[in-house]
Amino acid sequence: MKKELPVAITLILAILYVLANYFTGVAFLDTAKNLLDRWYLIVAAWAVLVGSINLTQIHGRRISGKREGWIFSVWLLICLYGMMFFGIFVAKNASHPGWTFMYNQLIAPMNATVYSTIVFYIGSAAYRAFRVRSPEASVLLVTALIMMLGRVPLGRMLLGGHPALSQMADWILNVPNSAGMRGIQIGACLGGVATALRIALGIERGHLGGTGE
Amino acid sequence: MSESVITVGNWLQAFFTIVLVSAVFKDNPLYRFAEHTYVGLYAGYGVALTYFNYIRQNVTKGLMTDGEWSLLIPIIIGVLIYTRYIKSISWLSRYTICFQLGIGSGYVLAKDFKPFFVDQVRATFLPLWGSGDWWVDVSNWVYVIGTVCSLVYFLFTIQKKGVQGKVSLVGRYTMMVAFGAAFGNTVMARVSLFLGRMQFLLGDWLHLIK
Amino acid sequence: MWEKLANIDRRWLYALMIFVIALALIKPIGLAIVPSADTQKVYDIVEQLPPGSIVWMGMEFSAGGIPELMPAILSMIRQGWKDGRDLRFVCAGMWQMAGDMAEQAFSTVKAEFPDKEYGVDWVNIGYKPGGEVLLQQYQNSIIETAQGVDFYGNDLNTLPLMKEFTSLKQAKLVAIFCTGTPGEKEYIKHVTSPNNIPLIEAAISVSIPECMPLVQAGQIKGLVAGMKGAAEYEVLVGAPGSATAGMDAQSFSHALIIVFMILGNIGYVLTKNKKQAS
Repeated sequence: MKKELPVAITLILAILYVLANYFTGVAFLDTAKNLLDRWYLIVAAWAVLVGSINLTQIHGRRISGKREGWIFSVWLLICLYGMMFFGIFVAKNASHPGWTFMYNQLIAPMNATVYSTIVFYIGSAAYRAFRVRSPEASVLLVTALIMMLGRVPLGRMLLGGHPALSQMADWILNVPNSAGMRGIQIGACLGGVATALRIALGIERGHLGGTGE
Repeated sequence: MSESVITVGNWLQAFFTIVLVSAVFKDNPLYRFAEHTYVGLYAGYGVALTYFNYIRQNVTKGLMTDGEWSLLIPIIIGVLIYTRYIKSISWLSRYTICFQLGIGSGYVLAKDFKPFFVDQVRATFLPLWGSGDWWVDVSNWVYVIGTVCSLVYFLFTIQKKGVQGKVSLVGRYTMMVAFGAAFGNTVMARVSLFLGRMQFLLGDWLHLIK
Repeated sequence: MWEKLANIDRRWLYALMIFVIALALIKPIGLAIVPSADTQKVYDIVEQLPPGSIVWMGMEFSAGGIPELMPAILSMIRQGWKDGRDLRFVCAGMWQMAGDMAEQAFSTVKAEFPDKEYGVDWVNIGYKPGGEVLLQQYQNSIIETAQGVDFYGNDLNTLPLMKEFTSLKQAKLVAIFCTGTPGEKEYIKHVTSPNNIPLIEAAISVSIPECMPLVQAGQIKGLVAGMKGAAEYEVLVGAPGSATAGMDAQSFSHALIIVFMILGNIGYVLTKNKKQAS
């Protein structure tokens, strides 16, 4: 019953939501769905500590085993619980000047910088990995070149103000790219629906593992 | 905020920006310090934000003021996820996961098909002649053929030989164009991200640009 | 020599990238920005809204999306408030930084419109957990779903705008700013498709190719594409900002990456030919 009951709950909820979507105006279905939606938001909120606990476990093991770089793990846990404590007991809302300072001067800039370093790897990949080994790779390369020039003002400047490159880039985006992406997205939608059906019917049970039983 | 606080903030920002970027040249202890600072602060920020934007209201208003004790049911379901860290009762965490997956899969089954299959297929039915503009007609042909051939490419249960093989090949090339467009746009996005940081360093910090 | 061309130390490439971008920012040429049809469409959609219309702004991005999306948000707010148009904005999001992004946007623009008042002309609900289910619940009751408080902890019941705007279905326009998932697909399936509400989006460049089928199908009525689209929007609104300033640097860094691609392939082809010859 430790697996069967949760799987049954998944199935009942999925059926309820499908019925509530297709049979509108049935009071019981609408009420149940709204109630469950409210509960979903609450469940998602109260499960917020999972990431922090995982971080604590991983870095706690590193500290107790005195593995390489363990001192950084100590610092990470100080930052984690310090920020949590500061937010919950000191700042208490987003208007607190200390909170806005931490967000505006530290968290947001570091968040942006971490993502921005990808540009260097893109440049490196363009140089090292982007090789015209096959006709398909050539098509990819030529399309990428047209995109990169057509979607910036430089493309116009190179052609003396003529919009040919940007028009080509727009056509590529609107027609062949859209066609290819549509094929991929339709396939992804069918795959997603099939996976949801497998989860609802209990055929897919990977999410039940990892608990030791 | 006062001028001195903004200046301290700008210097802190500049320090962490430069240190985080330094990793692409060589891994170094300063980078690891900055990386761990970021991960710790961001994780703590998320928890605190959820607490004072939602959880606190849930308890103070929902439970204590309004007396809606039925809210204890989802709160308990939510808290059950933490049992996965206690081996003897870790199976209880399945209830949280299955509750969320049940609703999630219900929404996919109920809501995904119409906008992302039916409407998309319907939008592929484009006029192939008689639009009045030959280029529009050609584009529509490319669109319809490209979409159909891309879909045929994903039929892995049929061997890619003969007609199916040729159609799949057209689909492959269509997708190569799509991936080329994706790569070009990815370059644009990542450059923009880095531009933002450079605009801060050269503008707000070093005052070299307005 | 050809082997060297195919094997330049990547750190030189990185240094060159930083140099080119810095130079283009410090000494811009001022390449002309011509608004595209897509951005013009977004501008026209916002322009055609009756004065006083309520626009839902979905801030579905984190700090990484600021360079490409924040200029579009600022332009939309300016367009909505200038010349007595008095559009009203309700901001919320499924992403954690949603409230902070809205705060950043409105605190930047507020100085240009001193008569605009929080709670009357705009409300920042901020982030609430729950993902796409949040969008579903916002259609029933925004105040109840948001647990009665906005991003700053104010009681939503005391805000005049929220007394009028009780459900997401009442929005005349849904304008979303996205960097990934959850994003436009969640809005389409839960909000705009079932309720026939027009949806416009500003997306980062990475997402543009996958948004195009949705644009072609009419599920997204208008799309501001990345930093270029944001720069075009700034030009249309008449308030050039960081996106416009960054386009020169964008152009030259693209040119540099193209040079890298060509150099790498020249080195590869010549090295391959040499190996085959030997």
